[in-house]
Amino acid sequence: MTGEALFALLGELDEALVDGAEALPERRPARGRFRPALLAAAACAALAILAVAPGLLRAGRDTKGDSMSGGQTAADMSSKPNDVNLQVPNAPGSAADDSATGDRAEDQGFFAVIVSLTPELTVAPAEDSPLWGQAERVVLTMTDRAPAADGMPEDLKPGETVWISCPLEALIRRDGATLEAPTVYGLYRE
Amino acid sequence: MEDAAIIDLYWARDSRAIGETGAKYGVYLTGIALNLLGLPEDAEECVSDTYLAAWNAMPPERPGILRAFLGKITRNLALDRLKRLRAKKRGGGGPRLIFDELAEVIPGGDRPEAALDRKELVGDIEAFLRAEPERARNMFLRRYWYADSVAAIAVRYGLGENAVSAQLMRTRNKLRRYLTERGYVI
Repeated sequence: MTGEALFALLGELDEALVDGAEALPERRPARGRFRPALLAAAACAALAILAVAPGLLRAGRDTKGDSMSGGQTAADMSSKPNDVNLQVPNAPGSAADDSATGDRAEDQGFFAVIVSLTPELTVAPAEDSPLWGQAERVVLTMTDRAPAADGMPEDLKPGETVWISCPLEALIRRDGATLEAPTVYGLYRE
Repeated sequence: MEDAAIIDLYWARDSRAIGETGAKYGVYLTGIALNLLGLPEDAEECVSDTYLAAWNAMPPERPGILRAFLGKITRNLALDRLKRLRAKKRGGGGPRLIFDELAEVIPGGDRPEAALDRKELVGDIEAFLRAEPERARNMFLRRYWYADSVAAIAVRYGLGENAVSAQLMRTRNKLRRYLTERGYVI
């Protein structure tokens, strides 16, 4: 039987079976599980940026007002009813991790799958991400290409998994709607 | 509008049924048609044909799952269109990669389809898929029923493309072994 004939035959499958695949996959709750090697790489990259290019980091933070509507701040956005404060005990930059890295909570990050690159960088939380189950899509508006300055690979492709270091509280909304990111501090290959 | 209400419109021969169907399932149906046909204009015509087919089918049909019922019509119409395009030598290659992947499952391209009991084979494939873990089953259906690209499936499930390809290959191989045990593969 040819592949095309089998493909046609599959059209006769039970409708309930087929319709089950249309439902969005069940999202797992945030697990706060990180891969040690990746964490170490991300921490090293962050430290390198802090040591070599502090001006770039400041420039990135200065973009907050540009990329959010109505002059909102990250704090304003995180206080919206739809926002959720993510609890990731072992995340880099979390309260539990501050002593080790010296990072602030806003330097947390997450794994993401690149959905599209233009006109903005649209990502979906990856399965290993603390954002898994919290948001369907996140649109990162990079008005000044600050992530590139922080080491964003130039040859990203849709479907690729990356690590994004950014202020999480400003990104997450429980309803899964997209939200502009005020600042992305870094974006690295997994 | 609820599916039952849309179906009632079809049964009442109320033309609003088409508009309501398009509003609720137009994107879904276009996605299926586009996956198979590749060109937006072909997909659009295919979806229009789906509405007409649904209009002609209801009544007497009263589908239990309207979305899948319509999706099945679109899929069948798109495959018919592919064959017509191929006959006219106007392309119609369709998702060749998907067809090639499935060719591994029941090898022997020259084996006449008539030699197989289609209904029994479909039943066996359904039984196989129902026994699979939900994620593996749905990824298989996304690829080989909805004709989604590997990239689209990867995004949908938050996985890398390699992981999706590997999972699909495992499921295909497992299906082939399953069908071999039942005498479909010689």
